[in-house]
Amino acid sequence: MSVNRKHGVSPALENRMKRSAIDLIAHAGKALNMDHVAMGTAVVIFHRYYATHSFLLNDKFLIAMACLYLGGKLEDTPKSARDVITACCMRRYGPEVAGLSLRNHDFLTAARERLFLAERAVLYALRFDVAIEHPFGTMLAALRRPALTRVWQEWGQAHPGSVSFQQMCINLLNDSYKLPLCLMFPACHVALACIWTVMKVLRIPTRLSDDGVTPWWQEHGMQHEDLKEISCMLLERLYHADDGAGGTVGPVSAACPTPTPPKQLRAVGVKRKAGETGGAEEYNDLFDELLA
Amino acid sequence: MYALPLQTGELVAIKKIRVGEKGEGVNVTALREVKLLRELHHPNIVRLLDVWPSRRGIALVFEYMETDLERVIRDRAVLLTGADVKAYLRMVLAGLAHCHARWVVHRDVKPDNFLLASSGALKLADFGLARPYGSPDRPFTHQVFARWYRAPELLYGSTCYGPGVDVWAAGCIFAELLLRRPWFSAESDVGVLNKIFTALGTPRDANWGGLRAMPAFVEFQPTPPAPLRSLFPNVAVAPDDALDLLSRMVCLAPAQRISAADALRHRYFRVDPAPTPQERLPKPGRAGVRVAAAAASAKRPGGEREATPAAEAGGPAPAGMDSGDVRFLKKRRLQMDAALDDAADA
Repeated sequence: MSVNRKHGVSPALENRMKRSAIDLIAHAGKALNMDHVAMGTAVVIFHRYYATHSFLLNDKFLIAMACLYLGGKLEDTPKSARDVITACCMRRYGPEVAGLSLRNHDFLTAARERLFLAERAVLYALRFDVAIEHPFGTMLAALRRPALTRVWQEWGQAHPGSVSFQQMCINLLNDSYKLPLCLMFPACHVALACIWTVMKVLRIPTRLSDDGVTPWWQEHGMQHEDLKEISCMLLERLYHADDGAGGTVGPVSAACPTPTPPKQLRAVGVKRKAGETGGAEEYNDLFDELLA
Repeated sequence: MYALPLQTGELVAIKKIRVGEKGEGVNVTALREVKLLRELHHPNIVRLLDVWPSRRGIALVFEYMETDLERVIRDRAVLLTGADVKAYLRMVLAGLAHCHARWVVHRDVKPDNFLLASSGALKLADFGLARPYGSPDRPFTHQVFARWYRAPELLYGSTCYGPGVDVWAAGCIFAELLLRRPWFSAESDVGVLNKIFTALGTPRDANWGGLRAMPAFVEFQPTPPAPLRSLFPNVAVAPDDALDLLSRMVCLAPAQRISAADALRHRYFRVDPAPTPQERLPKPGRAGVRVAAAAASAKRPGGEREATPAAEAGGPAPAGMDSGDVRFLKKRRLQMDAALDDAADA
């Protein structure tokens, strides 16, 4: 049993706590003008930390701040402790309250001390295993394959003015960081599954290949089962679980997809053609198809 | 996932790094070193065995190394034959080629950062300045390397360079093995450039595109290159193949410089004499006890780095540990493990 279950933190609560902390990392990172690799690293180490540590004993705000600080250092875009504290407090407390606190010298000194302490706690928890792999490279390489190049070119021609296929893939990939997929799957598998999911959602046939034999996703030891599993997790827990219902690890049960308006998918940039009907129905179909 | 092997009976070297001295938490250089060395595994790269929290900082545990290449070169009692030089250079290049293949540029290649194990293996150490390269829009600092080993593009202030800078430094080490003294030693950047151009000739625009656009470009009196043979007259140690390889490694234009991997495929390594086997390589007479990567700085006046956050070997590093120390370490290790597990359970 995980530490959080032992302490009575339900999966739903854990999920919600993680969401808000990752949200903080993303917004503060953006305010600090950090690149996506550094923010990604911050989120991955956050997931890793809370895989073994309790939300009740470790302040998620402090740990998120330490992860962001550490992520910047690890990816060679270090931000000063002061800037990180400022950005995080601004995001969390709002400009008025944060501004007041940050002008207080004692507050800042104490915050720095706590930040350094938390930074070391995170490093010890990770046992200094700090080389984090990211899925971005795999995704870009996959999108350059001939089979997929055709897909996004055709899709772009058919839907001028819409969000591009590649952008949807990247958006989904960015969103995937909210789930602890990095603890369960290699980064390259997540990248491939994101592309696959977008193709499924857009109703593009997925069994494509460069040479007519091996499907495009068959690299890095990727299995069809993994694709389906990651894809289900993405769709179900990322765009369904805002109410905190998600949290079970493992393949989703067939009963899971409750009717959901298609607005959930708009987060990734998926737009429906005019005149197309039932969103929920189609969404259910998609799940059935994935689970088939 | 986090299996930590317990080292038993093995001598280790510990580099202690204090945390929070500059008010920015754990040192970036230390993190870089840990991150990169955890990923780089090669017989010619020093092994990072473990990292521990220590009282006031973190402790990096390296395999124990006896001495370094600097001492081999300086020790007049050591006679280096052509085969020995070849063996050393091959290990230098193999370590670098491994780094470059993994998109890491070391940026502090010099003889004292190549440590010599008792087995005779030469290992690249001190990754405090190393960085991943390949992202096009990330400017690098040109204030890297000890001055004598800085490539001309760095001396000209380039902020966008690649693994060629390491190959240049390896070329300097090659020359140093042949000459038994640093090749381009001078007190200032311009002095080093002057020495380089006296030996290799001034670069011409035709060979080096964008030469005049370099941030710190200085025009030098045009000089023709001197024949390398006149600088390295000893044919027994430096045959023609060696000089051909050297000239490719210290090619002025970074774009035309040979890569470490290609250098390893050069004819020099395939013709007689074959490189000396590791265990038969000469060792410096008084194998001074040296703690891996802990010192490595400020030994030579001109070789000092400037404006880089390097060499933070805090605290006295234990020199020459006996078996009692190893036992102590092991015990300490177990305590640490227990403490970490407790923390995880809590």
